Amino acid sequence: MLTLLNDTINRLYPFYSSACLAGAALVSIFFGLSDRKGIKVFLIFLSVCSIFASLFFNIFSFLKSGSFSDFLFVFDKLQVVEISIILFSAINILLLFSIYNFRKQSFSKILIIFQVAVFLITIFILSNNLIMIFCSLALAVAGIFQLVTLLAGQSDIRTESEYLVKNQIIRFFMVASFSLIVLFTGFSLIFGVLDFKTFVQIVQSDKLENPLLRTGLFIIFTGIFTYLFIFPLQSAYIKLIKRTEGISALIIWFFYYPAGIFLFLKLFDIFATFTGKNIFLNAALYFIALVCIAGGNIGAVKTTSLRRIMSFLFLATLGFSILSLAFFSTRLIESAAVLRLIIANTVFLIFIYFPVYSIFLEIERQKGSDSIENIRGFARNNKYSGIILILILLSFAGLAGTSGYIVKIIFIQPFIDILKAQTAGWTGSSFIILNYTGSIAAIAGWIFFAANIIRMLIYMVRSPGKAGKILVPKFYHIYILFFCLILIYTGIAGLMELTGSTSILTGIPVFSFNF
Amino acid sequence: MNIQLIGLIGFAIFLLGLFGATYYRSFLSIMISFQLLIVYSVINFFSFSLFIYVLSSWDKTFVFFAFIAIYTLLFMIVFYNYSKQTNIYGLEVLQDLRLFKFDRSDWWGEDNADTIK
Repeated sequence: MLTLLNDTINRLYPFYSSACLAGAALVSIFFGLSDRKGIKVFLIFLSVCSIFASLFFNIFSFLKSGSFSDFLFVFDKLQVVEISIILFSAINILLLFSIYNFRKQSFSKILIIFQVAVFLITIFILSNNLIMIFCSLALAVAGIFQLVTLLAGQSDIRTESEYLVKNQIIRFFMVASFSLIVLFTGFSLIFGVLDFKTFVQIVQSDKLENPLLRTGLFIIFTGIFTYLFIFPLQSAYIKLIKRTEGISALIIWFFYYPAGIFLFLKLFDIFATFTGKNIFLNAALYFIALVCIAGGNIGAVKTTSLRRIMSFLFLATLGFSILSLAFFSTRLIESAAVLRLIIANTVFLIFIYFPVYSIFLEIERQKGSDSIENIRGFARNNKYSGIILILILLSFAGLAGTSGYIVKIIFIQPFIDILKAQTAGWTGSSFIILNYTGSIAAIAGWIFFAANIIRMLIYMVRSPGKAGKILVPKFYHIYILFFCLILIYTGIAGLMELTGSTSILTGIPVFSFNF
Repeated sequence: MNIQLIGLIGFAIFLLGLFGATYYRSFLSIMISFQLLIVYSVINFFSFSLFIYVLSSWDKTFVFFAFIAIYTLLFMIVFYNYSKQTNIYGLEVLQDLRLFKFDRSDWWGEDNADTIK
């Protein structure tokens, strides 16, 4: 019996984290129809325990058993980090969801869908085979769709605004479906070139010059582009975030978007193979990144809606990730630095968005609208949480000493390197104009980005005026303090590493961690 | 029938689907365009397996699962759309669901673009 159990547990590897989530979802199904308060509390407790257990097994099993790879799945350092990101987001979403929706009649059912959605995303992260990636992503998006629609509310539409919410949800997920179908088309073309099963096989094959393969890959990257709603295709995303229920925005930011980013990371080796040779491709990458950064910043500066500001700044941050790809295409930075930056950007967004958005959501709940006018005088009325929020926002702007600058310094470093090389008589590579343009635009984009944050800060420290007094519950003080401490902690660890005291605080080298 | 001809017919279907999905504003037109795109993928999988490779049972199963996955998502969207009707003819028929609409309000200013006419 013990041998059978041991054998089963061994066979489950590397799905320990997924198994915990699936187990919790299965148990929850038996309580799904109940609306009793005790049952709801039990389901929250079960979900939290399952997510923490997943997080533990995710890291512990990797440390104990090492990498895993087969026909369908892969489990390596990158997958461990990606699953941890999703699980950490899940804990926070669960917390905020429970606060705002506990009294909802369908609370238990939404919680079960939530567990299933997280489970499907972890399966997607582990997927290695082309069709397996597609299946798990499609089902994960279906799970996210269910969550967003259930959170949106009642079954009957009574008002015009409810009708507009429905339309925007449909529009958003139709774009997502479109990108998935485009991905599927790309996979079908790749299948025509060779009987490929994984992306690694494509990189290792001698068919890289095959036009059908290239068309397939082009279609797949177009699919990822539309999936991520990158400028100028952002319409459905911006409108959905503005109109949907508050927690749905977090689900889109930290379940839907990371899935797209992780899909790209699965393709990163292929991307690396094709970039660097073609100047038009490199120029296109710079163009997309700059449009994304500029569009995100301009959109944020011209609106007074906090939700729109947050969603535009999210896209601008995504633009910085794309810029790192552009830098890589002209070989300004190495592939390891790109991976590090994309993951760091995603983690950084989590540590900024959860505390900031949770406060904004509470203010929105009290005031009934998401206008920036509502945060006027917030730091004066709530000195404790005001100071913490200011620190977090300054970190978002890239303040040295907090973790915000760690992401930004990767953009500044190549620029300094070019200038140093130029003064030493280096004539530069064939992409020198692109390098200069990109570096200068990155710095300008950062300044513009910081200006957007400072605009919010000014509102927070001004006299409250007509906005009146807003007081946030004490729970939020502790919640945002936790994030603020982590931001400062990693920021100081990074600074110490820069000055030569390698990884004293974290034990992990912040600037040279490789996946 | 050879693979080139199948490829050309398939590509024509793909272009039709792509045009429909990016141009139309009505829910059903976009859904039909999605079907055309999926049909193109089916044609690719089957033609390549007939003329170039032999699909193993694993591959067949997975392609089948891929169809189930995407149709599950599409079915959910269709179900959601029709389960939340307003019973107001104008609202349902004139709804604008263009996937890639380029509004000024998506770049600049406040979100006031799609007020109901």
